[in-house]
Amino acid sequence: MTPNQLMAEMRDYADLLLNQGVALTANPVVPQHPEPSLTRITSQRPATRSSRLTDFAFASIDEYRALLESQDYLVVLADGAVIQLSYDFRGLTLVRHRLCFYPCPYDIDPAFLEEDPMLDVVDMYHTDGSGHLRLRTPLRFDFDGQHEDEDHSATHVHMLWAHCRCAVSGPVSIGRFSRFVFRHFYPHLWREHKFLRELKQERWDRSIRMQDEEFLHFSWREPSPSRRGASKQLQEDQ
Amino acid sequence: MLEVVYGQTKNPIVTSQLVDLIGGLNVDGTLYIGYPVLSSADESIFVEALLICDQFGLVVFSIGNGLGQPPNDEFWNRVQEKQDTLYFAIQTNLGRHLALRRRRDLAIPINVISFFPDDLQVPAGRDLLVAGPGTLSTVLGGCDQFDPQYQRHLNAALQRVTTIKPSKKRANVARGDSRGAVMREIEREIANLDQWQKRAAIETPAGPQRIRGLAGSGKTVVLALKAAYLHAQNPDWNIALTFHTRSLYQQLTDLVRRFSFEHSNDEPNWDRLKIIHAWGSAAKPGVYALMAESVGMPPRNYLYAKTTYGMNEAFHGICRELLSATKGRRVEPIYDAVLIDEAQDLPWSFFHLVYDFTSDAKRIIWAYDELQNLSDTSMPPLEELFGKDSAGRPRIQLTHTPGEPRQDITLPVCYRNTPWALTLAHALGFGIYRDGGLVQLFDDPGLWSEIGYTVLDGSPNLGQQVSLKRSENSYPAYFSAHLNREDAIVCQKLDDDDHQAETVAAEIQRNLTDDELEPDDILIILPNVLTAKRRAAAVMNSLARRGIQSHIAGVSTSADEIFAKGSVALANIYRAKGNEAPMVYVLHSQYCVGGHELIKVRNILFTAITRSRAWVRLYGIGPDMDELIAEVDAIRTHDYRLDFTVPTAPELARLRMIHRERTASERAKIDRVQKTLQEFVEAVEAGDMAIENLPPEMREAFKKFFKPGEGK
Repeated sequence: MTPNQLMAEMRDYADLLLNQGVALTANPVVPQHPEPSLTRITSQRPATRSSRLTDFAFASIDEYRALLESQDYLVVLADGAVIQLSYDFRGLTLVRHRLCFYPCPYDIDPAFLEEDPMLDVVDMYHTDGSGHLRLRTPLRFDFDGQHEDEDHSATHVHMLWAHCRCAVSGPVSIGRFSRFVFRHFYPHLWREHKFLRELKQERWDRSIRMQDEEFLHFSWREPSPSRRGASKQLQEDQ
Repeated sequence: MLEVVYGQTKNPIVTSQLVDLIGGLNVDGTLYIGYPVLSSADESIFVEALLICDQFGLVVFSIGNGLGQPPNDEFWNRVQEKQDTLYFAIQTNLGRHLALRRRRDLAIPINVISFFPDDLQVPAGRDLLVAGPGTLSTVLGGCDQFDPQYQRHLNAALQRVTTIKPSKKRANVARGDSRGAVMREIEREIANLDQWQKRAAIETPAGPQRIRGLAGSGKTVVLALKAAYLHAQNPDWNIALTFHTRSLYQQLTDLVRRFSFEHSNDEPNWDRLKIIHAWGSAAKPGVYALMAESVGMPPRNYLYAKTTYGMNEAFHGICRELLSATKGRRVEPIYDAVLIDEAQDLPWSFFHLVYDFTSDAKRIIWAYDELQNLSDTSMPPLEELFGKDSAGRPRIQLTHTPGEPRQDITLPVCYRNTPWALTLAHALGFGIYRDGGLVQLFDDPGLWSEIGYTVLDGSPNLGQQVSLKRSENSYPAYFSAHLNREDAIVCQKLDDDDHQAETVAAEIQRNLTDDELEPDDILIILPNVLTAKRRAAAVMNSLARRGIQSHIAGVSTSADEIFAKGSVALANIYRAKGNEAPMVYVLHSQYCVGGHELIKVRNILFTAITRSRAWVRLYGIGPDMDELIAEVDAIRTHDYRLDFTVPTAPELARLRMIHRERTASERAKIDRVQKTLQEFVEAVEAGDMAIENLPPEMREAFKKFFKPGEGK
């Protein structure tokens, strides 16, 4: 998959979420070049916003607020959850990715989010006390082909704690990430929207090491060509 | 003719004596009572009266009381000192204006007169101008006049409130005829406007005051100046300047501060003069919360209010709660004066509270533009707005007594919008050329002339035929000089969402290149607040593909500034309110054409159009757009006149009823009934049913409804 193909896929994905009413708002998808030979496909936050995400603790309300404030996201879902996607290529080779699902820490009436500025709504719940507060962890699927060590699998997921790096069998495509999120966390949307069940699942080479495979980790089986139909049928049923 | 501008005076009896005396001298000029405070290096100076006229030149008055005993040396020393201070203050103030200097000196002679209710004899050897009732005309006759060539500049210096907006540099403008060049000219001329409503800002009754004005007529400026003025004159008062749109906070603070610095060279005391949101936020309590706390009630938070009373009634709901909690109780006032901007957006319950929490003089000053209300609740009459006393009389009444400050002010000049855009906004807002007839209209026929329309033909009275047009003096000359009406307004129907997003992006690309506009000259408005966030994303994509940066204003917080350098702003109508931009694109305009809630959507359209300082583009899709285009064309064919028949009072009431905003359940009911009727019509047409299948009484009722003049 080329960077341009991935950019088109990310655009289509954001447009679908928006047009089907699953997402509340979105940022444009653009290619960036943080280094001369590196192409990053990600969402563009408004130039008027600065990112201060490093200032906040992982999985904190402040970090969630900062995401909204800096408008650093691909989409915000109707319940206030944030999705960030970013893929880095060197030439045609995928070298890094960062796919984040950041749930809203409050159970918010979606009507408020639709009508009012999102951060104002979050603050409204925040000041109302802890009754609406939910302990939900963000999930961030990171892949770094160059960076691997004893407790750092090339592809891993951060959850609950920033230092948590639970191994993942290989780089995760937009479709695979989205299916995971919606199938598990938004079963009603998963049932309602066919497009969520039909998103393409790109294949990349597995990156997991033997020693990581011996522990509980995230993995999936690529459907073999002969089994594709059966797998599809299974998805339809779910 | 002598024009008197009544500000605040500390000595009303002697001042009114002075006004009467000068009035009797057949003077042609302006007399300011309580001219805004001027600064010397270390103190604020109060100018009690200031006269500018051909006959006597520029005269500054110091006003004294009657004396109980014969004046002694110490008294005359004080008079001398006061005159000197006034002289230097005026000299410093006027000396800042280049046009009033002759080489290194001030070109205007300054006369300072101390006026007393008795005729006093100035002791020999003292060089002082002192006047009383018997000597005023003689003393004035001895004053130094100024060279008439300076008159215009002097008036400008005295009347100009402040440079409203520092004009942009517009360094990128290379062509003389581009839109950027046009804006540069317009901005230059705005900065030099002579009459920034100073009169309205200074006139301060010792009681309530209402300010009505069109969008862009300077209401916010006037209120900010009034607040600064009241604060400077009464530093011990607790004054609140409050508002509805959160993003106004910065603008109001800047205006008050700038005015305060220009006239008294000092930062306002923000403990006394509070610029404060009506409701407030978690971080910054608003007027409501402070009122609640002052009577020991914990203020309700947003979540409670919105969940309990719904979005639209939330603020009204909690204000009513506070009203019932304080009913019958003696409330300790917390304000000496309250100034309310955007009063059309605040509920009557808030006004009742403000009345209760303001000290006895009830210095409540509220400004509004009825058509900018984004719901359909019109401004209630005074007796409802502030309530009635125990005897059933309105608690606040507005009276006009000659020789006193006006309690009811209308600002007729629109500085922001072209006369064509404003006429268009009114025509669409009222539905003047709408196929189905008028949507709404205000009840008071006198208001037309007050908001700057001339009656060309007929009469604006109820039930009459009328033809109205913007009067020549209701807009600055720069619009006709630099813009043409064809280009000022464009209304276009597009194929679909994508086509609309692509068209606006391509137009904006042209604006930023050929037209030499800057990204923050452009505002894209999305009228439907429920879909705005989503629709904005599509447009941002189209812009991003062209390398144009954009941002949705207020997507994360309402306190954000709407414009940002280097980025095109998109905003929903609530966020766009109170802001302006040279080029305004209204997308999905079709949303504002029809439906059950015509008053609300037409007001949205009015508000959107009146954001534009030069050009407005109405884009939209679908069949409703044809209707909008037809209405816009009709305005052009009628040469930007409003030609229509004013409804009668019962007709007006009926319009309000039909086109009002509905609750969700009312909307559902209308949709359900429409659907049933549609099914009935289809069934009859298909031959499955006959009219006779309806019960006779229903048939009779229908017959009645459709007979002209008998509908309900």
